[in-house]
Amino acid sequence: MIGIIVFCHGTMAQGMKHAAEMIVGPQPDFTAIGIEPGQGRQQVSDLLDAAIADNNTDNGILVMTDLVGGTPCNTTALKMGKDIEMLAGFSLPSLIKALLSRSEVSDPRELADLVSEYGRQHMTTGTEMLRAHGRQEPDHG
Amino acid sequence: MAESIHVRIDNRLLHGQVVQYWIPFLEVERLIIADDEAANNPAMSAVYRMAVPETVTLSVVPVSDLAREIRANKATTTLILISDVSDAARAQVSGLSFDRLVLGNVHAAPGRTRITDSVYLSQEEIDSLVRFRLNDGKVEIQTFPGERLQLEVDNNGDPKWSRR
Repeated sequence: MIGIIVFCHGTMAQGMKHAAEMIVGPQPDFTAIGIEPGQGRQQVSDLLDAAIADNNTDNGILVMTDLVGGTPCNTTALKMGKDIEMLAGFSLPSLIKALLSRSEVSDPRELADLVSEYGRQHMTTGTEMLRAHGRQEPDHG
Repeated sequence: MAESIHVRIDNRLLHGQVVQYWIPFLEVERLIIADDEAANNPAMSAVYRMAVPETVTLSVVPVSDLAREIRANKATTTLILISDVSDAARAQVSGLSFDRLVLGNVHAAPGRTRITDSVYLSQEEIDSLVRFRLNDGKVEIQTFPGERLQLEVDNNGDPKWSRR
């Protein structure tokens, strides 16, 4: 099984973990870490190193971060290698997909590709959903 | 159009706040990261290149090369990111002159006291900022565009952060 670390600004990672486990139940090798104001880049790097060291999986780790170009994304990008892949801009659907698919793929890169494609497909608007089901748009007049 | 140069002290250098908020807000054309560690680490430079919007020209240089880099290319709006107060002082020594210094993120560390949630300073750093305020120009804490704390120095030479 591939380990999952969610790594975000503030308490988003803890919130996302809580939300995902409301849907799929408690998960092993699933860690949430967040950065706060007042932390420097070395402290942030140490925080990620500790989470990676805590992860007990043998098949690598996917680190899911909140924002392209943000500190969690940039910090993780510096640690990428054969066993560590990074995804930036994750959503709740993509996190759930990652948790449910991580036993079925062989390495973090493959999981990241699958999950990022899934995340892109699972954002929509109310109007798009109504259209997809052949209904009329609501009349705002 | 006059050239404007913004100097920002931010230990995280290029990160979410800068990419999402400051670059569009200031309409930055050129971004210079002046940091010895980043300039000497190709992986760090590569990550910053990946993170910067396509409309912005990025250079990553050692602090001692900053003044030369500024002179080498002109841009309407330049944002300079520097890790800490001592690097900003080194940039001055290297020949860069600027009349406004913005503190964005200076992280907590032993010997530093809290000024805001995002800015912690040691006595040595405060002394350096007071000298800048007296000799060179404005010193402001501006982590977000809506925030602005200005450093004032009273008649006794004591620093005070005021909201205006």
